[in-house]
Amino acid sequence: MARKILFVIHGIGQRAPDDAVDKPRFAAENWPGDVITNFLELAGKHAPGVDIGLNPGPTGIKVVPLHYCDIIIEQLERWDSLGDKNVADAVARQFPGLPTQFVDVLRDISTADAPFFWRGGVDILLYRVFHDIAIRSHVRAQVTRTLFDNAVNGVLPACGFITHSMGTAVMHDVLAEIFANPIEFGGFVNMDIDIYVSLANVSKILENVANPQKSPVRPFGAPGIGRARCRAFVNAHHESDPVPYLGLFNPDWSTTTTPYRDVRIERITQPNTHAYEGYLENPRVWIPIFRTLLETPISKADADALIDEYDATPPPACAQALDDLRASVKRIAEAWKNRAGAVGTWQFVVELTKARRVLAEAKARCFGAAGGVEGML
Amino acid sequence: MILTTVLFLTQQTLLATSSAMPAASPRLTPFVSAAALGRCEDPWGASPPLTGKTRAVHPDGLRERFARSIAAKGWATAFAGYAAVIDTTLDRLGSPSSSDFDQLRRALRTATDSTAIGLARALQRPPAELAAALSELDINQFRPVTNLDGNLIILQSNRIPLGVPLDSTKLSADQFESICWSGWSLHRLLANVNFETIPGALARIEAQERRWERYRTQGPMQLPHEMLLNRAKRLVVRPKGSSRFNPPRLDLVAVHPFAGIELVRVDGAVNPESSVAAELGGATFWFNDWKHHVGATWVIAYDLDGRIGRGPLVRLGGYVTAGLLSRRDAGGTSRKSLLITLDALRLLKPDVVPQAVRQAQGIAGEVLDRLPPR
Repeated sequence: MARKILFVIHGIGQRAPDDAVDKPRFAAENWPGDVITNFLELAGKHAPGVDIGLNPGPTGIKVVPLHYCDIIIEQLERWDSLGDKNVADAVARQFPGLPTQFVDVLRDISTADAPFFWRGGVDILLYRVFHDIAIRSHVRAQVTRTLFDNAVNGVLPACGFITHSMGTAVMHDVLAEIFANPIEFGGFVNMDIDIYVSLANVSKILENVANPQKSPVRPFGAPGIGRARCRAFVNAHHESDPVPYLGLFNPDWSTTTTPYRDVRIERITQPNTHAYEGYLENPRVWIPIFRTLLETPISKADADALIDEYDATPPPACAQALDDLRASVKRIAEAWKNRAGAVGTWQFVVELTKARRVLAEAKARCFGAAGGVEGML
Repeated sequence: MILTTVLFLTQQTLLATSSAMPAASPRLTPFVSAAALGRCEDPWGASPPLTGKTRAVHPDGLRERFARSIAAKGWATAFAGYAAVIDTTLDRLGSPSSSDFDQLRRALRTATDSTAIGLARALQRPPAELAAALSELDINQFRPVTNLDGNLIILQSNRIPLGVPLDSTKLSADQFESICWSGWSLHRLLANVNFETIPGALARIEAQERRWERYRTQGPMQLPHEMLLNRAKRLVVRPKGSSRFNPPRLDLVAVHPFAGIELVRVDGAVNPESSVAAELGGATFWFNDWKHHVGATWVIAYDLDGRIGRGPLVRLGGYVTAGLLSRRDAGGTSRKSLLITLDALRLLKPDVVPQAVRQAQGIAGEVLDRLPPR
């Protein structure tokens, strides 16, 4: 039992090591890595009186990692094209009925990009094209079972969501589907969402259920279809992270008349600007979570001081690599913008695969191939 | 009838609250932080104080007071009773008048009045529609919460997106506590109404998940183009109602190559021989809550000599799929053989091939005996 639940969901590229016996299960159980550990360390430091953790007391806040990577890995294990260097040809072989233009788009992924496709980009196709309903069912079952198990005296616990990368699309679709179908999903439609945090949101381009800028997964007061469901909504995007540019999530919700915060991050503290951990360690992101869900009193002055302290962190000593990263991201963002709406899942997969290589190269130039924050790279 | 109930409960409340001691509550602990608006925790589980102006609106006290209605699931009556007690209590705390408290009291009264009417209507709808009706009422609005700026608010909803500030520095201790406890009381009661629909919904959700798991792991392996085909089929023939959340009942099979074993009769004995085959087209049908599936396809198969056999193939679920092939031998005579297939993944299990052969021989022994010798 817990008083509140903080759901945390992953993005693409969650894989198990080669020596794992049951790879889907291993990845599902171990994906949070440092994401939750680091967040709990922050809580220990800035909210010492709050009982938060994976197994808190009955009045505490329970952190629940959600997963769908097991379905993706399970599917990939069934297909033997995993790791094929020539992605387009492999896909063309596996999808004989696929129109040529789709395959041609994939040919734009160079051989050098191929590992990034099979270790991540393919996840998007598996969610967006094949397994969307199964994945939503999988995540929905985890969310509702957790809420039910932690209900006390017939009251569901309040909850919060932290979502990242493709997890923003999956979580949005799961919730939007619940809210749109009260006859099927009963009282879960009335779950009490204290805060919804999206990091590097891609739900606009990948949604399968409803437009995330109009769906019920929006802050109270924001215009849209159906009733809004979120007491607070934080959308964080790093200026040098190419993924949110490609994701196209850019709602025009008011930050004065609705409980919405658009967090734009400029400072590069490490070259993997898309990393889950990188977003969550930023006080602009975690302070709203602490204030709403953890009910930690952090004054404006304290918040400003924490942000200043964070921003004073010296950047990695690889200025040229970071400048190149900024320039590359700018080019990717411009090129995407210049497509003038001619974008879809397939084009997104191609551009994301390239973008991930850009991030990986910056990381390698700063820290070497094995250094720095891995995140979802 | 509702009005009568409200009046009756109001009378009861007036009697009850008039006997309460006007002492300040010892339970009030407004937390004055840098954010300066206080803290309002759920007092559930902590017994209401024996005395004090606010004790009447303590969640445990209200629940005990309306226990009979709650036990009988007379939710509308209980809510009206709660609202009446709260209204009376807040009225008593409203003098001397304070604009901040008056604003809160009015907002709370507006919300409880509209919720009382909406709840009564919602409860008259069929049980399956209860959750939807409750969602239109923003039933969570009564829970005091902390907002993005770290300030305490209440009545946050679609109607009041930023909520109404609950500022301990602008209210007396009793006023603050009464609003706080009233909010929690109403929230708990409405959450209980909503919870009536939860077990059924969870059962449906988990049943769906189990179906998908069986579909993914126990069905015939689909190649990517078949998944694409079946996904497209779902877009064309859109499922309705609950079917939208379940796996498909019917899957198409198309151009699906596989490794197979042909059982042929040679010199009076049945010999297994490897074969390369492809299902050209067909379908798989799921039944019994996606616990079983059957399928039928048309296949072509090449034996080791490269001769082509054609025939129907039937999938009965489990490990083995059996087909009856006919092909012409070198002498131009039509021959029949039994084809069994194994999904590629299952070939990795060392015991599958002999098991499959045994199964096939057992199932089709009679058929094989009647085949002409090759």
